[in-house]
Amino acid sequence: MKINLKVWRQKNTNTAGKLVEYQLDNVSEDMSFLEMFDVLNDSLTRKGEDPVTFDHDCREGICGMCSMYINGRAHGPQTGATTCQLHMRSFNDGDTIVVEPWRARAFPVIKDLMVDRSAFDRIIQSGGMYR
Amino acid sequence: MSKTGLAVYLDFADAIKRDGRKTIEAKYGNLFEMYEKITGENPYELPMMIYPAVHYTMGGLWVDYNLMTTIPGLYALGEANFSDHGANRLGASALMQGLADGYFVIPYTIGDYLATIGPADKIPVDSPAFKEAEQKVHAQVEQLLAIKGTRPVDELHKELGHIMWEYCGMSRTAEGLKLAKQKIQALKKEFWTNVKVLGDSEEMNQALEQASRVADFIELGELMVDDALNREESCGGHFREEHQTPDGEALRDDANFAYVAAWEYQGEGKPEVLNKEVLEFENVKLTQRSYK
Ligand code: FES
Repeated sequence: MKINLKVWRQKNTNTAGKLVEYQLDNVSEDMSFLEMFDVLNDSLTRKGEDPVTFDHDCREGICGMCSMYINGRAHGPQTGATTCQLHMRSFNDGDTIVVEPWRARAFPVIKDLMVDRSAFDRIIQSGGMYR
Repeated sequence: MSKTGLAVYLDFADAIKRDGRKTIEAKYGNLFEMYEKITGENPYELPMMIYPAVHYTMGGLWVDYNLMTTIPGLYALGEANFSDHGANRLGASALMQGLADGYFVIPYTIGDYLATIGPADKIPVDSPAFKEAEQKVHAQVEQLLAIKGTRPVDELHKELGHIMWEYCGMSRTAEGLKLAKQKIQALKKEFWTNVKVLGDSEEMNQALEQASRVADFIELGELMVDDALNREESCGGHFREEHQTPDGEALRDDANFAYVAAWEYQGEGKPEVLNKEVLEFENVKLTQRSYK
């Protein structure tokens, strides 16, 4: 399937960012959303362009590292699912997808789609979760 | 045949007919949901595609009973160490180790260590050991950025994964492992001469981070292959096809292999040295495990 992406690119915390458009022609519906970004980054790297920075770790829905704000919703269209467990079959051929970082004053953007979550870590460390 | 061409099928149809969908749902509901998310197929109606995946290292850093590594003051907890699981940490069994180490061991042992060094004995950052380590990291970072090859890190990472998946999974043969060793050595050469890492070291640079990890994974992958070649028996997650019973079960060789293989690093490019830590069983007898 063909996918048009509008991705938030921001060099670092102190630089203004903007949405940049990319087109991917060969997306498989079985890819996870993050694998689709791997494909994008592969092609950017080969062209010598800076790949998109985004958080991820386990890629099996366990760790909570993956974030992304997709079409105005945290983790995209599904409810109760992480971004790494979102697959391209949830989208249609020719769709335009807007991908932004999670925007909140407490979580400044480090680069592109990666934000500084240490404020949240501090809440957990002080026992502020699940109590 | 599935699209990947790799899967065999696990069909729950008979179990659902026998026990009812409710029972299966209660037992496996969350797994079925995960499966459907990943594949887009409903496992209550279609057989599931399965595959015996690579099961990681089945080991980790050597630690003593207090969980300290061979570097004084450096502790390794949970799955990062080798200590509790032996040849099999399948399923979520390694969670036990994370919990046991974190709750029951480290709170006592780390305090003991800290008490021996005292608050004033901080390691100064101008100590020769610190300087040497820092310098090494800098040199490696500069080296990775200077290669300016043609192949993205992720592609080489995946290539390593495929080698391990193919030849060093649950089921291995001497022939396959020898081939894997050659392939990993060739990949290592390719990596250090043709990897493409953009950007610099003064900014957030995920490709650079990944490259540093992949450099480690190449070393670790080769060590796993060496270890699997050395162990001429089948045991836990290590099934050497040459060593099986007539009906296809794992065949251990306790007379020669009832030991933990602790491989000792000898420096860049030198083969690791095998230290055998003999396993002694005082209260249980070693027996054949049957999955039937
Ligand atoms: S990467 Fe771990 S939950 Fe998505």
